Amino acid sequence: MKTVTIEPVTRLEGHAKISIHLNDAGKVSDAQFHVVEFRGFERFCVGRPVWEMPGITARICGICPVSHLLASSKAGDRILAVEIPPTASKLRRMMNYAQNVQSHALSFFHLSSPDLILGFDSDPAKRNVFGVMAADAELARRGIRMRQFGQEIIALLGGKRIHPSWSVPGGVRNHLTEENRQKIVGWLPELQETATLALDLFKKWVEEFKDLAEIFGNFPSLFMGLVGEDGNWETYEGSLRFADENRDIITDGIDPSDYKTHIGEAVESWSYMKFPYYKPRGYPGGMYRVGPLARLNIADKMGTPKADEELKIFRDVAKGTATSSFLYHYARLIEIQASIERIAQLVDDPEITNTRVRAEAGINCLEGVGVTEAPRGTLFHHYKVDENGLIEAANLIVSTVQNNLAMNRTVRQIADHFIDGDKIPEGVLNRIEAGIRAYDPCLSCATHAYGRMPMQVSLFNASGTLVAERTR
Amino acid sequence: VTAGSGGRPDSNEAGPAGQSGGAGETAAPILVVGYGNGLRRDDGVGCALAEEVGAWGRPDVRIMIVPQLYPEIAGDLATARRILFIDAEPAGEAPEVKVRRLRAREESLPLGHALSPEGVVGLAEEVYGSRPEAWVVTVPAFEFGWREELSPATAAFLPDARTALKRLLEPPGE
Repeated sequence: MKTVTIEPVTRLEGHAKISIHLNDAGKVSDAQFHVVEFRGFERFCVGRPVWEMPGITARICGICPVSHLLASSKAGDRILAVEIPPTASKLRRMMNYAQNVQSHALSFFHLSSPDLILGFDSDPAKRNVFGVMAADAELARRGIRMRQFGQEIIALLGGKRIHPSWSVPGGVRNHLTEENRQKIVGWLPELQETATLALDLFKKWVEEFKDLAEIFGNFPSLFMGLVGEDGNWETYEGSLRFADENRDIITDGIDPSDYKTHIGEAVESWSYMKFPYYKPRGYPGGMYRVGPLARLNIADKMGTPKADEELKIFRDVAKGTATSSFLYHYARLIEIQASIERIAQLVDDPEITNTRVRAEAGINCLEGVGVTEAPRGTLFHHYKVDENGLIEAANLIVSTVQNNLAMNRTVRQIADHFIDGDKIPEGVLNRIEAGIRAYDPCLSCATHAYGRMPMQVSLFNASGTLVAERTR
Repeated sequence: VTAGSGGRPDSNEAGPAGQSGGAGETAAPILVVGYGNGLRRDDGVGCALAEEVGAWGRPDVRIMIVPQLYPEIAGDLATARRILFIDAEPAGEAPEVKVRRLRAREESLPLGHALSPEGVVGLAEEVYGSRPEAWVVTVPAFEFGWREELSPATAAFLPDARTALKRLLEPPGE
């Protein structure tokens, strides 16, 4: 057997490498995506006051701090046993929508559009945001502006762009001022234009990349995420729903606190990252996907006019259920559209500048689970505390981990299709990377210093001897 | 010595000039950007040093502390005349504080969720037409576990790093 190792995946945080195992005939026999997860963080939290957890957990990651901030705050709400003021709930929602916009903008405009605009076989030295600038400067500028918008809302609400410690158990620290509300309103027309432009662009690409989408993580699986009481797209509250590849609902109305009844976590010897699965179907048959694709597959509707129109088109393109992970990109753009519409609704809400935004309480429960939909998927924070509110145990199930089985399956599918023999052409490397990048995984567990390692490809023969190596 | 708060209010936009603005705003001409994860021990040394520079109270200096370099900070960079990036670098066989001037962007660097200093300065040029003088100061980093304090080995390089930063804050020729 020959083993081809690609490490680490570029444009991702953390340590990651890919091993593709070939049999003696040069055909792919297996493929594995290895990751160093942020093991040890839960232990780091022990002994910390529950009130500090949102601020601490937001610092896990520079990519999705808001997701941890909100999930942690919600776990704290449960421990205080309070219903937070309605305005606080709306402001937290607004921040979550803003995070969706800025995170999806980074994924689409900066990380994925180079592959789509310049082509998977283009010069890797130019297949980046500068290449996009050269090919379509206006699109690249709009992408940066969309990023700035998301960060601006986070700063206006939280007082800073990165790691705001604004949301706390019981609500939020500061209300939204009228001046800041007006600033948000001022951004919306431009954002809507950009969302429309990006959606129109992607709809043109759907036909161009039709064949690739067929083998780009295209397989049946379950999909999981939050839905609202009305069954619509939801990112902050609601209950968990599992649906299958036909969009048939498998389980619905799950209280997020009961996640352990439905989600198991398997371990493999070759990866530090766990493999969550839907318990009733066992491992690995209970593979499920989370994130934008899953949220669109499980939701009845988006719940806003423009996003619902786009969802109809999306389902026509997917012929019902979107089973190709290539369509994660498309789903992200529809979520940007929905987020902009939801933010527009919230800033028009007469209660949005109400100053009552925090409920004060002591420790009333010794356990709490907080769940939100992060840009990459469902995020669980589960804490146990002592009578003084000090953390005794913490369990975090992050979005990227829940897509682990699907990412491995995607690598295998792409490798199966493109690799034949012991050569890995540049374009194939790009496609494998792009297959993982469709999930926009966030592996910030490792330090950014290590995350900038160059890509290295190692090729071993049947006896395990290194026969070729490429670095770029 | 802690590895940079990264989580205190306003820690990502601090300093005499206050919050960094977008292109076109009046702002202190020297921008010091410390980046890294203050929870991952020595990885936060850039943040810790940037905080320290902020405490020196120079009116011509503003501070930005971020976990990683993102595309949107190109707007902040574009308003600066000189930029000093401070980062951790995994210690090699002969660890030392290094100072290098950014000559041009390196397009071949992989683009992650985070950009390289070259990448984000390149964006400032492409998007805002600004090409500030930019330097990178790296400090050897030895431990990256979940802890807020710097390791003694990295802390031992702080005096060298302070000296380098003070030199870079002075106008050329002084």
